Order: sequence, then C-alpha cells, then structure tokens
Amino acid sequence: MAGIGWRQPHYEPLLRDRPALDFIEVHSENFFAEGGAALAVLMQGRELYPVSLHGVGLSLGSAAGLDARHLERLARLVERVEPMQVSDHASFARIGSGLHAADLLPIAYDDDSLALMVRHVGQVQERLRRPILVENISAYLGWQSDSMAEPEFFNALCKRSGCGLLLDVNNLVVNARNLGLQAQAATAAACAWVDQLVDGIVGEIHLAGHAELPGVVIDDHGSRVSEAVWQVYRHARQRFAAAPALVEWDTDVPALEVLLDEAGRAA
Amino acid sequence: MNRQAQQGLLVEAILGRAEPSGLRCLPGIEGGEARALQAYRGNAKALAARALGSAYPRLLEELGEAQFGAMAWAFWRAHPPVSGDMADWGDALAGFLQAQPGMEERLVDEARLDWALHEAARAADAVFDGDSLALLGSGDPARLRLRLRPGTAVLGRRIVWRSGWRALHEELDDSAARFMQAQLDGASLVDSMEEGFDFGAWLQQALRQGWLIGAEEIQ
Repeated sequence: MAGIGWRQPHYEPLLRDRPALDFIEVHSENFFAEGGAALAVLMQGRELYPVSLHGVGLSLGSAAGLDARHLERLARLVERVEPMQVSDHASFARIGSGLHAADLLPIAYDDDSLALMVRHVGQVQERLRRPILVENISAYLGWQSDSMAEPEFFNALCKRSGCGLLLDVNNLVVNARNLGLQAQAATAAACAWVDQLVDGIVGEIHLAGHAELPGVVIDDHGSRVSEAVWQVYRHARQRFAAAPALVEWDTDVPALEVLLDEAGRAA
Repeated sequence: MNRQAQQGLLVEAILGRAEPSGLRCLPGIEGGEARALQAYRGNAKALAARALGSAYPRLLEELGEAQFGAMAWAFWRAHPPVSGDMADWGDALAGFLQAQPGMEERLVDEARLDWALHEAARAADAVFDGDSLALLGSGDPARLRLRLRPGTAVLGRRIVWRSGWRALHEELDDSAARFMQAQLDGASLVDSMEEGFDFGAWLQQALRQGWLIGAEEIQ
C-alpha cells in the first residue's frame, strides 16, 4: 500500500488524472480553516482516495502543554474527513510564552519526556477518540539529558499510550549521517534502529529526499528518495510489511508523475 | 533549569536572541551548535517568507522576493507565530510596516487589503438564506440586521468578500461602505442608514455580488 503527500501544486492534476494510488496524505494544519477552496479541494480528494491527516503543529513534546484550540481544530477536521490515519511528530514547537516555532524541534529522550509525551498523546487520542501515529523526527541537536535510545523511547511510548509509530526512514538516515557516520555505516545504523523496534508498532512508513550539504545533512524533502533510504525501507518492510508507505516531497515540488513514480517504487 | 525553560531558550536561540542550555551537538555536523541553530533558523526564514507570501501576494509582488524575505524574517522576530496553523500568522503585519521609519502608506494599505482577502478566502462557507429576506418586508427595521457573508470586511471605502472560492474587492461610495461596516458591527438597519443612502440599489448590488446571505431579527 503506497501513497503520496498531496501538496498544493498537485491538487488539480490529481483530481483531474485520478492516478492509481492507495491513499493520499495532507498536512492537517493546511485545512484548519472553517471554509474556502482548500477545504473543498480536500473533500473532493477524499471522494477519490482514503486520506491520512499528518500534522506538523500539535507540538506533542512541548513542556508548555498542548494548544487546546489546535486540538479542537484538528478534531473538527477529523470529524469532517474521517481519515484512515491521524499522525504528528515526536517534537516540540510551542513554548511557555505562547510562541510557536513552526518547526519540529527535538525532544529529550528521557523519562520526563516520555511521561510528557504519553500524557499528551493520551489527551489527543481521548479527544479524537482514536489512536494516532507519532513520527520519529530528524534533528540537528540533541539534549544532554538523553538517557535512552530513540527506538527504546518509541517502544515505550507506543506501549504506554497505545499510539503507533510513523516510521520515517529518511529521518533515520539523516540523523545517522549527522551523527558522523559515513554512507554505508549510516544505512547500517538506520537498519539497526529499525531492528530495535518491537513487533507491530509501525503504522505507516515515510520516505523522502534529503540534501547533503557541506558539513550537514538537511532533511528538506526536496529530491528523490536516496538509495540509502530505499535500502532502509526494504529492510523495514521485511518486518512491517503491512504498514502503508508514503512518499513526501515538500520543497522544489516536481511534476506529479515523479511522485507517482516514487510511490510506485514503494508499493 | 527545567524542561520548559530549556525548550524556550532553544526557540529564542533560533531567533538569535538567547544562549541555549542543555543541548548536545551532533558529531557529524561541522560547526557544532552554531551550525545546527543556523539550520533551524534557515527553516524558519524560508517558512516565514513562504507563509507570509501566501497571505500577502500583492505585497510580495511589490517588494520582490529578496526584500519581502528580509521583511518576513524581521516580522517573524517581532511578531512570531502563536499558532500551529501558519495561515493564522501575519495579521499584525500592516501595523508592523506602519511602525517602520519612512514606510509608504501605500504599502501599508496594500498589506491591509492582502490580509483581508486572505481572511475572506478561508472564512466559513455559508448558505444563502433567501427566505429570511422576507423579514425586510415584514419586520421592524429598527430590530433587523443583515447577515453578510463570513469573511466580508470593509477597509475604508473598499469592501472585501468571497464569491465562490475567490476573494474579491471593490470600492464603494462612502455611505455604502459605512452602511456595511455598521452591519458588520451588528447595528440595526435603521441605525446603519445615513440620509440619502440608497438601500434598494445597495440591496440589488449585494444580492448580485453575493455579499448578503440573509437577514435576522436582533434579539
């Protein structure tokens, strides 16, 4: 089962050409408005494909707490769309002053953070009356208080909150490269990351491109999926064969055919 | 330092106005913490320009990408987003621009128009309630008001509204603009009409343009 992240440049061609896809995924926040064209387009897309709602702004790891208004708007959208999946990230953006950084900033992988995430995921699931998926992020910084490995953190989060993992294999490779591992070692480390997950927790797999810049690898979703990421994906597939796969492309978005080609490879 | 304070410092550090605490650099990133913060700052700058450009297309066209991008980042630092929906961000831009020394009033007006169009485009959908207009013939105008399409706004003499999926704007005469503003403020028909205002002509125009979605009694 494979789908694509449905972004604005592909609204019209997808509705017109109706390519064979198992599902489409959208960023929830782009459809929070009470009305207008974007919401109408989404409802048209929903008539053609199952929709997955993927959030980028819930800020599940925020020590300042969840934004109640954001959660209500998400709940309203979920009622409207009746999506096949609802997901967001293991990250924070919202801080005590009320400011929202509009990014997926790293949380600490420690007991306090785990307890916070379990509480927030529980709040979301209670309001939405359904389990959600939580995605592992790419990060350019860690926290000194990190005391557990990421897979261990997600195993515990899923077990204690009842959520599933949205496994982003591109993020695994980006993180491994930024930890200083060369290409082959990074791929092996990403596969080992996957191996540490307990059975049955992966509800979806994300694939995307990244950019290798001098001195840093950036998770920019702006190119084809790299061979290293495909390798980790195939590895993950062996254990999580039933999880739908999704190709994301958010910057320098190409023609729809290119995304469909990538999704075809993931299927 | 507690977790909330540490998270707050990281966000402020990305904005370039605090020293973060408790972070760990990733060994593969050359330049350490500064380079990592720069990566996050780069994300924020790009998002600022993209999000604001989406809400302010005329201003973007007017200023050009480079100047608009610099302005968007300055605005982000002065008035950062407070919502996870980036389309909510930007309502303070006209005021921000107005406070800049030497800013042309024309650009401030352009910003106000862009934002009003942006808001109209994402306003709630509404169904025209033609039956309720019978109140205009039978009700007491001192206890009646009109329901204008959600997202409708009046900027001076200019009205902004949505027709279908498109946000539009048009200039009215002074009395019509004041009438519509009064209606948006919830005033009764009687209290909204100035002497000489041609309500019949306005009503025809309102129905033709889709400004009006119904009438209601003031409780």
